[in-house]
Formats: sequence, structure tokens, C-alpha cells
Amino acid sequence: MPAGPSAAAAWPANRRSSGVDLARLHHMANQIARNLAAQGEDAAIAATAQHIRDFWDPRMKAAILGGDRSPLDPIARAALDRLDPA
Amino acid sequence: MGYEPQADFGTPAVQSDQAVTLAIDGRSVTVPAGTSVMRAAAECGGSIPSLCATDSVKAFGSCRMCLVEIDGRKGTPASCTTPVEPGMVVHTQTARLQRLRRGVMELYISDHPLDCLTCSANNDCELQDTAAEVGLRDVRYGYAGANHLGLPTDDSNPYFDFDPSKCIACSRCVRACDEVQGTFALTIAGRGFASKVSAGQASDDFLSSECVSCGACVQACPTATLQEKAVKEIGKPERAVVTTCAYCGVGCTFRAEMRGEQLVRMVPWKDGKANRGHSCVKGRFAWGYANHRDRVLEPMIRESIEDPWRVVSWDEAFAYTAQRLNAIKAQHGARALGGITSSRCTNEETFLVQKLVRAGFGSNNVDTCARVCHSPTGYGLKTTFGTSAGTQDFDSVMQADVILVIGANPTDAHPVFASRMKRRLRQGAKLIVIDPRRIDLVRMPHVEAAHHLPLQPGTNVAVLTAMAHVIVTEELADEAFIRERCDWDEYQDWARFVADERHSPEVLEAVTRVPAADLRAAARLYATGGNGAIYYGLGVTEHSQGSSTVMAIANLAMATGNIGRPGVGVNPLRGQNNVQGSCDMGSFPHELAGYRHISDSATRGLFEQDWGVALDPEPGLRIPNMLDAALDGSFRALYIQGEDILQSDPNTHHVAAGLKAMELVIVHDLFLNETAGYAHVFLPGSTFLEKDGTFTNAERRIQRVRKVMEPANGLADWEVTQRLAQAMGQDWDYRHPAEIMAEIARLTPSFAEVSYDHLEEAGSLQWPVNAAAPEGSPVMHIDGFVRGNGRFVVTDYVPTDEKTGPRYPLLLTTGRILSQYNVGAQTRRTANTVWHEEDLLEIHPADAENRGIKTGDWVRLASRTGETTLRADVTDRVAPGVVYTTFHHPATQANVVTTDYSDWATNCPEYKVTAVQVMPSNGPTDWQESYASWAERSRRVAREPAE
Ligand code: SF4
Ligand code: SF4
Ligand code: SF4
Ligand code: FES
Repeated sequence: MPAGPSAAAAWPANRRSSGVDLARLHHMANQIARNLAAQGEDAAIAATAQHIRDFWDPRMKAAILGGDRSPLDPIARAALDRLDPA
Repeated sequence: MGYEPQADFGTPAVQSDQAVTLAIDGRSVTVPAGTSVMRAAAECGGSIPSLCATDSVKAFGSCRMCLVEIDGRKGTPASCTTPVEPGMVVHTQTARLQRLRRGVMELYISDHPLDCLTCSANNDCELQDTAAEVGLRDVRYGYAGANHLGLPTDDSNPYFDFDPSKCIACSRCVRACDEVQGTFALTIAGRGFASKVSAGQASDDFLSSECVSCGACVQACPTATLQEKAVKEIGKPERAVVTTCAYCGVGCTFRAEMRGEQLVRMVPWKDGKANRGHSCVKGRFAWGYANHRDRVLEPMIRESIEDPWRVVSWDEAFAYTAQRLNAIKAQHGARALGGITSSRCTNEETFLVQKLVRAGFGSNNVDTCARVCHSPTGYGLKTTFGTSAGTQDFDSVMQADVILVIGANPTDAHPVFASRMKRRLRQGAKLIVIDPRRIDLVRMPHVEAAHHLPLQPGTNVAVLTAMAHVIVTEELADEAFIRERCDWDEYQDWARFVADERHSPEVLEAVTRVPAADLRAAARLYATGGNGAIYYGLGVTEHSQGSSTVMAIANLAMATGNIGRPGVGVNPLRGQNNVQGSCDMGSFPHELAGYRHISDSATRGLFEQDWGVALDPEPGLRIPNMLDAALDGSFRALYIQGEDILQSDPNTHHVAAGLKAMELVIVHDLFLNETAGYAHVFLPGSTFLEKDGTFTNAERRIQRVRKVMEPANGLADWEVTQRLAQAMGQDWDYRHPAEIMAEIARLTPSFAEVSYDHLEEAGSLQWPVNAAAPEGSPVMHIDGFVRGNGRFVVTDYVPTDEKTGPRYPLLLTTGRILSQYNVGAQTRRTANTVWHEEDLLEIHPADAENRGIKTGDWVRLASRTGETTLRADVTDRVAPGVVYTTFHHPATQANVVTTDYSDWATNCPEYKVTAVQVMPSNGPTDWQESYASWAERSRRVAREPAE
């Protein structure tokens, strides 16, 4: 018997269940950037970078900094560049 | 401590700047102008016999028992309805008064069963006391005439009985229901001798009436007519201990009235500053879970969640758990470990759990259930005002002129505060409700909202921005306040932003569905109607834009100068009893106690020095991130105190998968809750009746929780955490929670002057309690904001990614009801289930008809995440296109359908908006059936063979 209810069909196909969830981190970063965008580009980039610095655990920061940044909105991407210019 | 009933001064206290001095029975007494003679007598230690007066309600003057003589006045006025006057000379005990009172008493007694000796209220009955006081020895009338003695008892309410044969028609119950509770459920039907208390219609009993079982009438009743069933069953209490309710963020204080080790009843404490002697059904009556048979009292462990549980000793449980934690830490590093603190536990317990995680585990992976409710409040109010808390005390509402309720349903979720609010509304304050549902407050007896803006779920920011647009463009902003208290440049940026035509109510109507004219009128009322006070709840926070909405609320309050004095402010209504406290105590992964960022080396240094360990300077994982990290293998062990994340958190499948991926899940709780199905260690918890500590309510009020009985499981929760820490090698040695509070106070500036002695003296304290405010701070930001200048933050309306479409055309929003609490772990284990046996889906008649659904039908509720079934309730409380349910029952598991979309700033889940489809169904889904059998299997306990 599998542990837990075995309603495999109930698992949404669009959600993965292993590996670093980069897509989720991208979604989070974009969401932060979009909500700060109204402050103007410069302020939004700085605030997005600060937000990630203040609230994300190191493994999340490492994963998003080390991953493909192309799915990111321009503000989120610029914020990451500021956190890690590499 | 012996049993003393609470003092009753006969009529309510009066606030007045003027004092009046008079003489009562030769004693000089000074009281505020407007005080009754009866109260003045009581305040100087005298006592005037009375029956129809009690200090929770206005005097009525019907019984004529409280007669007095006043020099220079004719007759014998009733002291309860006679206000004091300067120089008055009052006599309360004369032969004439004695005779008159005895005559009145005789009439009452002649229609009252004389079974005092066997009555459950014997020696706790005001009629009996008063009869003795007036010296009534015998009754001349006999029972031959008409009387009420044969009337049957109404025992329909699960917690109290109504025995009309004992009723003296004093109407205290009726007035308590009207004035204190504001439900207007009772009437005195008939006149004269035929008058009789009745709950609603003649055919109604208490259960089927409008009664919400708050208990105010029971407390007001001078006889055994309305009485707690438990007093009949257990007997009269012998001692009383004052403590604090463990249900909601109102933080009512109660006298736990005990007989031996048994709790007889919880009676609201009149001196409680949060509740002022009132209560709701949960705190007053629903404490039966404390000794429910489902409660687990012994620790249990198992290697795998496939195994049955094995009961072990505390020693073995701690040794096993510590060894597993240490092994995981050694192999995977400190950041693989974490904990969840509980907003149902005390400040001291919460503080210890976060200390265990930070100092013992060595990570900052600590989070709390506030993540899923008020984390956006923390973020939003800290950003705008500088501190993460409501600005007012509850009393403040009595000075509000305009009350704006947004995303909160106080009559269900914060009932005792709602009663205060309703009282203020009956006095004439205006009400604006912003809510997708027509909550009860919109229209109820003697309360009607001036404006109800039934917005489309998920559009709070748009509505508030449109209100700001009106305030700025119609020049209703309080420029003087803004110039003095806020950053003017930031204000102008914000004002320019909201004044943009695209933020006008007319343009945004397409998104919000709120008629522009209504919105304009509401904005004008808030800005110009006098003191404007905003109260909000989870309908604000549990959205993708939760933090933006909190900041938008703060912007409105600053723009209109509605902050920094009584009667105004921004007030989050907190869900759980100690959610304010658990946040204050450093339960968030990025913050130490007192909302100080973990990266701040000065603050970290204080803790490092005090605790003697180095702390990780990086923020830890939030609950949803812990679950993600568990799936990728980097997070492996979780200690959960007093929370049931499987049921309470969104997207149940995701939570289950995360828990299942962990090596070690430790659940510390009263019951084998849903999360325990995935646990390897179960540590039994203790109830709030079994421990000492403090809770902090929604008005920042720190109140004592006092132990009234020994922990049935042997250890209070703080002791369990301490023993676990010791087993892991920590040198903790707290002997009493007071010592933990001393540590909190020395490490947290806003608690600097808090101690158990100080609390004992003051009764309760509202933080900040420090050198600047040694007796606490009922209202915040009086002379300036905590952060200096108030900060206007531009809040753009960024719609959620959760969209309706042809497959999922309806929006689901969730909430709760009065009689149940959160995941229901406690309330489901009480008689409160008579009011709420199951979660129902509210659906508008038009949507129901399209789908062929009738009230009571089983329906399937499906989202992109999952599906469940429940029964439908067809009602126009919800707008077309919107459906609503509660999440109190595990059988329904509403969170199977909620998504993992969350607030952009805090990841607070978006419970309030899920795109769904609803269709008729035959019964439970496969998931529900397989979950039910799994839940049963996961609770098996191996029985040792008998020796
Ligand atoms: S219990 Fe409360 S609501 Fe019910 S009748 Fe009494 S006062 Fe009214
Ligand atoms: S039920 Fe109690 S409070 Fe109500 S009228 Fe009768 S005696 Fe008075
Ligand atoms: S209002 Fe809240 S704190 Fe007060 S009794 Fe009810 S549940 Fe307890
Ligand atoms: S107590 Fe004053 S008239 Fe009844």
C-alpha cells in the first residue's frame, strides 16, 4: 500500500513533485516584481532585490541565482543581477 | 481560594468628568455624575436589595425591590433608576422600606417553587439571597391561585436550560440579549401576570430561535431559570481562577469556576478589559474538548507512517526524537530541520519553540500559522507604520463615527468584539461593509450598513484605490495631518498615482463590480464622517495582493488623518487567540522577537550572547517553502506544535506530499490530527486549562493564562519543548513560564517592562510596555509613527493569476462560522456541532438553477487543484458567480481545492479566490473515500500483548 491516499488522479498534472522547483521561484520573483513595479523601475528593482534578500532562504536564493533567468520579468531579472552580478 | 461570586454594582459604570458627592446611610460617597443611587451605595460597600437590576444592563425599574428614601423627596424612589445629585441624603435601610420590600418579595415568592433545598442554584440565587435580605419568613398567599409552576423546561440548548417555572419576569435576560449581545432573540411575551420570557416566536425553543448561545442571559438571570446544565450535573463551583479564552483573537477573560479538579463553568470576567464581562458560545461553553475521549495522553513513535503507533514513555520519546534530529542534522546540516509554532499556545511556549529551532536545530526555519492568515498584516503595517500590530484597543470602537469593515465577519469570527461594535452602531455610528458576501452585519436587528460594497473576490486593492481616488480628487484628504505626520513627497507620489483616471470608481467598476456611485458615497463617508475606524480580517490578507491591501488600508487611514487617537485606526481582527503573540515572539523565519530582522547583527548579537550560541544570519524557510524543500530533499525534519497544516493549509495534496517526503515529522498536539497521519513522533499536548502562560490578543493585550488543573498528559507544552531541547543537549532550565517571560522581556524592547508580577498588578498590559510607556499603550502612533514618518506606499492592483474560465467559471471564497473554530479540532469535539454538522457550499440561486442544484443536494466542487464534495445551500447571501464554504471539517477538506497561489510579499495563501466548477454529485469523491480510510489506518495504535 502506498503511504497516504492513493488518489493519483487527484494530483494536478501541472505541479511537479521532485527536483528544485525553479518554476515556482520564478513565479514568486515575478509576482514580487509586478507588485512593486508601480513604484517606478529603479525603485522596483531595488525593492525586489531587497525583498528577496530579506525573505528568501539561502537555498532558494542559490537556486534562482544559479538557474535560467530567462523566464523572469525585466524587473525581477535586473533585481537578481543586482544580487549577483555574475 | 474560596468561591466568591463576581461583584454586581446593580447598574453600569458611568464615565463623566464631573463628580457628585452625596450621603448614603450616613456615609459620604463621591461618584461620577449620572451614576445611580444603587451603584453609589454598592461602591461604598453598601447593598440595596434588588432583582431586576444588574450592572451589565441599563436599569429598568420594574421590581420595586430597590426602594430608598431620600431626604426632601416624597415617596420611595427606585434606587436603580434614580441618578445621584449633589448633597443628596439617602437612606437604604428603614422600617418602612423593610416592610415594602418584604411585601414585594412575598408576591414573587408566591409564584415560585419553594424547592430551594433541592434547586441547583441553592446558595447561588439572588431571589433566595434577597428574600433572606428582606427578612421574608413566610408567604401568605399559598399556591392555590394561578401560577407558573407547571411549565416545562426548555432543554434544547446543549449548554443551558430554561426552566420557566422559576422565572420572575425581571427581563434581565431580555435586556442582556439586546444590550450586551445585540441579538434581540428574547422577548417578554404577554403582560402582567401572563408575561413570560420567550425565545423568538411562541413555537421556538432556544435552539431553533435566533439565539447564538453567548450565555449573556444565563449570566444575567438572578434565579435558576436560565442555568448552565453543568451546574446541575456537577454541582456548584467551589473556587474560581481567572484565565484567558484559547479560541479567538478577542482574548476574552473568564473565571474558570471549579469544583475539585472539575471545571463546572467558564463565566466571563467582568474586569476583563477585552471582553468587559461578555463571551461567545466557544469560550463560554465549548471547552468539553479538553477531556474528550479522543485526546491522546501518552507519547507515541513509529519508524514509518505505514506502521501503527507504539506507545512509549516520555523518556523514550524524547531520547528517540532527539537522536533522530541530531542524526539528520549531522548528515544534512542544520537547514534541513525546522519547526512550526502555534498561535494556540502561549507566548512562552511559542518563544521556546522558535528558540529550539534557532539555537537548538541551528536554522531559522521557523514559521507559524500566521503565515496562512495575518502575515500580510505584519508586512503591510510594518512597512507603512513601522510596527506589525493593530493600532487601537477594542474600547476605541465606542468612539468611532464611521466603521469600515473589510474582509471580516466579526459576528461570526470575533463575536464579543462584534457585540461592542453593534452597540456603537445602535448608538448611531455609520457602517460601511466591503465584502463579497452579505455578512450578517449588513442587516440585522437595529443595525444596517450605510453602504455594502459587494466586490468581486480578489479586487480589494482596486476598491481601496478607487476610494483613495475619490478622497484625493475630491480634496477630502487631511493635508495638515499628512504634512505633520507623513513624508509629504511620498504622499504626493501616491496621490498622483491614485488620482489617475484609470483608478476612478467608474473605470474600476468593470473589475470590482461595485457600482461607482456607491463607492464614491462610501469613500466620502469614511473621509468626512468624523472618526473613521477600519477593521479587517482574512478577507483582506488571504489573497495574492494581501500585503498590498493592508498597505492600501494604511494609506487610506493616513490620508484621512484617521490614526493616532481613540475612535480611529487600522485594526486587524486576528483569527487565533495568540496569533498576535506568536508573531511578536519571533515565529517568522526572518525575524527575531519584536520584529527585528535576523540579518541585523546588533539584535542577533543580543540573542547570541543570551543564548550562548551563534545564530544563522540568513532568513529561513516559510511553511510552503519547507514543503517544497522537502520534496527536493533538502528539508527533512519538522517539529509542529499545535497546528494541523494538512487541514489548514492550501492545496492539501501538496502538503501531504511534502510531509510524506520528510524523514521525521513530530506532531505535538492534543489529538491525532490530520497532520499526525504523516508523523513519526506524537507528543501529547496540554490544554490552556492545564498550564501557566500569557496570550496576546488582537489589541496587543498581554493577558495571563492560569493553570486551573494538572496536565492530563503529565507535562505542560513548554515543559515538553524544554525536555526535547534538553535531550538534544541544550542546557535549558526554566522552572516556570515566568522565567521565560523574563527572558522575552530582556531581549525584546516592546516587552521590556512586562513581567508576571506586573501583569498580576495591572490585570493586562498592551505592548509596547517599556520605559516610555510603563503601563502599556492602548492606542499607538499618537505623537508620531513607530517608524518616524508614516509611509505612503503605491499599491498597484495586480490581479491574481487564478482566473475563471469556461471550465472553472465560479469563484470560491472561504470563511468560518460562529460555533466552529479553525480546523474544528476543538469545536468538533463539543456539543457545538449541533449548530454546524458539516461544511456547506453557499451558491446563488441563479447559479444553482443553471446546474439543477437544490439546497441539501450533494455537489462536486472542483478546481484546477483538486475536488471534493459537500452539500449545497442555495442562498443570495453570495453574489452570482461566487460560491462560499467553511473549512471546519476534515471530511470536506475544502483545501483540497484551494491553490498554492499566495500573497506576493509573504506567501500567505490565496484562500479567498479559487476558480471552481460546481455540479451535482452522488456523494464523496474517490479522494475523500481514500482519505477517510487512510486517516483511519494512520491512527492505529499497536496494543502490547498483555503480560
Ligand atoms: S444565549 Fe445570548 S443570544 Fe441566546 S438568548 Fe441568551 S443572550 Fe440572547
Ligand atoms: S429568565 Fe431569569 S433573567 Fe429572564 S426574566 Fe426570568 S428570572 Fe429574569
Ligand atoms: S469571542 Fe473569542 S475570545 Fe471571546 S469567548 Fe468567543 S472565542 Fe473566546
Ligand atoms: S432593582 Fe430597581 S426596580 Fe428592580
